[in-house]
Amino acid sequence: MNQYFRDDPIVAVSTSTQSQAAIGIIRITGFKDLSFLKPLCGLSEVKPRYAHYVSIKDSENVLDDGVLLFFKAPHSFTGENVIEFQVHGNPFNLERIISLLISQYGFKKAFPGEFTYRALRNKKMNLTQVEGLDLLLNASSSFGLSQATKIMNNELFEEYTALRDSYISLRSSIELAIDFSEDVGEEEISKLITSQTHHIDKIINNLFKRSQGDINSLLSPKIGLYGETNAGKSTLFNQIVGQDRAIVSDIHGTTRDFVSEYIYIDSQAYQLIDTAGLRVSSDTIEQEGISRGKRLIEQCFLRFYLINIKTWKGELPSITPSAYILTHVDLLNDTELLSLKSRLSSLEQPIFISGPMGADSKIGPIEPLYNKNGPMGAGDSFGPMGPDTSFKFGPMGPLLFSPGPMGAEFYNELGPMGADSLKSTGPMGPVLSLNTLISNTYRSKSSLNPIPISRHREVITDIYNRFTHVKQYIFNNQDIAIISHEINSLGIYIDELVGITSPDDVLDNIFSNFCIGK
Amino acid sequence: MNDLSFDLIVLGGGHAGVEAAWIAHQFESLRVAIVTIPEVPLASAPCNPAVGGVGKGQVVRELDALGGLMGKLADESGIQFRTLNESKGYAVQSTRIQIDKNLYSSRAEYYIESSNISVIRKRVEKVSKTGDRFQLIADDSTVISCSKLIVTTGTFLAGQMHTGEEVTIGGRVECRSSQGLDSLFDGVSKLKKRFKTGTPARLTRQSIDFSQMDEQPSDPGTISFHFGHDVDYRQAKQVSCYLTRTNDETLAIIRENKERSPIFNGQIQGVGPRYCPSIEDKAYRYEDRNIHHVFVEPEGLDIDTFYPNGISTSLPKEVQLDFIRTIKGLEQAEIAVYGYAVEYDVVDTLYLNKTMEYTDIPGLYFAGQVCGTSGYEEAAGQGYIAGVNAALSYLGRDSLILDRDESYIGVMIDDLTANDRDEPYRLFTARAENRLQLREDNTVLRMAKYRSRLSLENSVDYYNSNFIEAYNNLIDIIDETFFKESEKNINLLSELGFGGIKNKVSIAEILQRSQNNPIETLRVLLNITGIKIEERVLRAAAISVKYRGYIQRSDADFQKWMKLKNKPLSWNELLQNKNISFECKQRIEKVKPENFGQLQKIKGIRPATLAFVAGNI
Repeated sequence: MNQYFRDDPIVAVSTSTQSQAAIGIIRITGFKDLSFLKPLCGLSEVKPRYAHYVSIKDSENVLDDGVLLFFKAPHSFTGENVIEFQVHGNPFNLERIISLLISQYGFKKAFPGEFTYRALRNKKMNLTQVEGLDLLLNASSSFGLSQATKIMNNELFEEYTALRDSYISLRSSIELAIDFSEDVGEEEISKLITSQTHHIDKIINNLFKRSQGDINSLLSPKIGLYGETNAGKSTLFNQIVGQDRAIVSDIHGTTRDFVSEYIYIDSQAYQLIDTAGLRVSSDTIEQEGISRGKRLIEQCFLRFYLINIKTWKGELPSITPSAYILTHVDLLNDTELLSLKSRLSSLEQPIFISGPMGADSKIGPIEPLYNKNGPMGAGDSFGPMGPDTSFKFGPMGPLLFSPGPMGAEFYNELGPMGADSLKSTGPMGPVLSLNTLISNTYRSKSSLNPIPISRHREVITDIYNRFTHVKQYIFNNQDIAIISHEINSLGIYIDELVGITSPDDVLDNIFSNFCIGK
Repeated sequence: MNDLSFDLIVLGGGHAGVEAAWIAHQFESLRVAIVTIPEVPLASAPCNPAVGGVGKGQVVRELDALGGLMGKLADESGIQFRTLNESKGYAVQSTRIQIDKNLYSSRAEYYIESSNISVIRKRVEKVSKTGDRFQLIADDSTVISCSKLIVTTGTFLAGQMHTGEEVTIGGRVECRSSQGLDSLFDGVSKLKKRFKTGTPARLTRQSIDFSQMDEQPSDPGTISFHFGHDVDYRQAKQVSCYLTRTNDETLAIIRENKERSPIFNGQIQGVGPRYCPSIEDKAYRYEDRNIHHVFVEPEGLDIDTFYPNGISTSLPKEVQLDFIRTIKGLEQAEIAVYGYAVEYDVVDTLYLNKTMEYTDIPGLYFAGQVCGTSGYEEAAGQGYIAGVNAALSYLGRDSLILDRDESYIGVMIDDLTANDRDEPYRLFTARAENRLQLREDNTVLRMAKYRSRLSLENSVDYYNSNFIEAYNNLIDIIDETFFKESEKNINLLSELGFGGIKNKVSIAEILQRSQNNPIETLRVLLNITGIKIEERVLRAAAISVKYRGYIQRSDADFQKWMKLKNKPLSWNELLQNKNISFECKQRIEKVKPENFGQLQKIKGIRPATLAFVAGNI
């Protein structure tokens, strides 16, 4: 951390240096005067927040032409003087200009996150905002982006401040009970403590709920396809993403590693993952692939287990899926279809059925998931599905089968499954496509407004556990010295959440996430 | 007149002064004198007639274990004993003793006069320093000189009293004031804002109808302060205090006369203590509350007046009488002395170091209310620290500084010398981070090591070392005595209601069971084993064992926090740092924090500054 404790002027490329972009931005901060601009780019006067067209020169040699923007302290990101050079984005070009600034003008290369650190120490941002910035820069989901913006706007910080305020009230009342009970009177104090305990309890509970649950699935949501080898994962994967991305063959164990592709549903990106089959194999390379696949599947917020109905012997996966997808159903005859009933009746998850595309098939195709508005097939005309439209009943496309009463009924009354017969199923529509299932699941998870910063989630969990403990003490009228003691240590965590007495390693952690130039 | 020469002089004979002189005189080679105004007895109690209280009781016991005088005086003049917070847990229990004011002062006079301390009753007009020595010139031109000077002049520096529109010069009723700090001590920095304190009217005994009030008798179970006294030592006759309350009518009168209150009409500029508000403060600040407690406390066995605690006021005399007579039981009350507020000069304690010595004038110490504290106990605690350190310094020895994690006196001195002050200071237990440890019962365990550094051999020193030996033995017994799971033991413990036995159970485990009162439980168990232990040792051991688990657990909790809090920092460097705002720098420069904890306490330091410093030290 001490590396940040310096006042030198620093320089870094603030845009990506990975590719040859048209424009690259070099940012400098911490310089005291502007006299270096005269030899560097011939500017003797610089107007703040004004675009100057300049040539950057190494003595007489023009390195590049570009735009210079000056932000005068303290009205800048870092709170110090800041200049941005917008120059051509070739990484070599950027590097050449930076070398010039370092060798001729005394700039130092910025450490990762140093610009942001200066913003923090110059009080342009608080710790929570810094964490929000980190999130904003690294978010790969719309949820992540909008949460980050909220945090940058201080919304989360204000909630924490509210928690701290209510904490301080409770703590004061407890101190009042110890030091001033004679003046104020026991009854009044105990009323005060009870109401304040309930108040902070509400706040902490709410934050705790929001700090639980799977945040990674919201920040970078993954959807996994898994199942026995040759269940048709790669075929389905390709069908969904609409291109031949995964290797497809009839030989068991073709997909040794996983393949993934981003798909967009309702302008939210999801990473769709096709894993290696979970086949027991003597091939060590494949086994490695399999266990990697398992880990991956566990990280997915939605996972679909594919069953090749033709070869299925009734075994179920060790990792519970969000839904089952039955493949090769078109290869079954009507009798076989009927006999599926008993075999599937024990499954609790929704079941989708996938067959080859084509007009003559009994069972319609799974629609490509990115094509939300594409043809829906027979399912279009399904009747209402009842009050619960959550993914549990979320059959896709033209096919659907849900076990339990509905499924049973459907079999009993309709005999062999088929697109036509489904039309008349009654209380089942509108059909939720796989897309809708994914969107709804994602929306319902983000509607809990989870707190996306893991440091906060950990501290909030600490606060919740401690408070649960203290609460018992308070309501059981335990030794008030101990209550107060516990309350005081709770304060350490609340301060840490707000970022007031954050131990230096917290700062260290945060800044280690930043790339140079941010 | 003759010139009088001493090694150490205490200027002021109040609670701070007496304690300062008392500890200094224990270093026998020292020539010690108290110089005090003639019209007031030593250790007088101009405000409430009580010693102790929450947090303050701990200070009295700390003083006692350090060889101080206050506990002894309070015990000997105590007419009503109480344990405050008795139902709330041992760590926050405190002793308070109502004292007979006259008896208290006369006991103080007795001890000081029977010692080798000289008492000079003169009004000092001027103080100067030539070379290493201070010269005090009295109003009769006597010159008194000394090497170490401890100033304990209370509210007398430029004191001004207010009762309604009447303003008189003085630090307390019927006494003349000292000169202001500026004229007495060139170059001593005082706080820009004067402080204010107040006292209620005194009521005559026969005009009070006690039958209308709740009686609060003396508690025979309260443990006396002084180590040499039996725990139930009561020398004076025990009497009761009485509780009554204000009502709508009382507060209406006070609110009607807002414009005549010196605190609110601008006549008084000084800052009063928020924690000890006058009845005007209560009336104007808490408009929706009309019921406030009033404790009616005897000022002494043979004194005709009672002190109505909770209605201190500086309203005009006729208003005082009016509102007092609305209170239940006080309908016929007669006022013997009217209430008043005092405004006085306060030394800026940021200029004092932890020995209470004024940094820029070596040899000059301040203690007590002149440092802007309230309370006799706070004054005595500072008096002790100033006195012992002035003496040690005179003898060329190391100073004695009490750690804030080990004593309330340490908490107070640290707070006073490290914080910017904007109101009178009173000790609360809330000021101590280590409250579970700063208890009355274990005072000797906390103080003995400090006392022993003085290398004195008085009765307190023998008592302390015996106490510690007995305590350690008892803890061994508690930890190593087991009740085996036998039918006899099971029956015994269950009859006593102490819980069951699985395999075996130690006395310590029994004491820690939440349903057991550790003191009574230990007493019973020791009786069974036939061991006799002094009551104070028994209490210390029982309560320490009870809290042991919590203290260990909290130690771990606090380590993280203390790690940062105790991190040293260079305030000089912070002042050079351009990332800290000008206002923050001003505050830092004033307070000169030496560690992160002190920086945190400075008012107005922004969280961003703290986060910045935390990340960089």
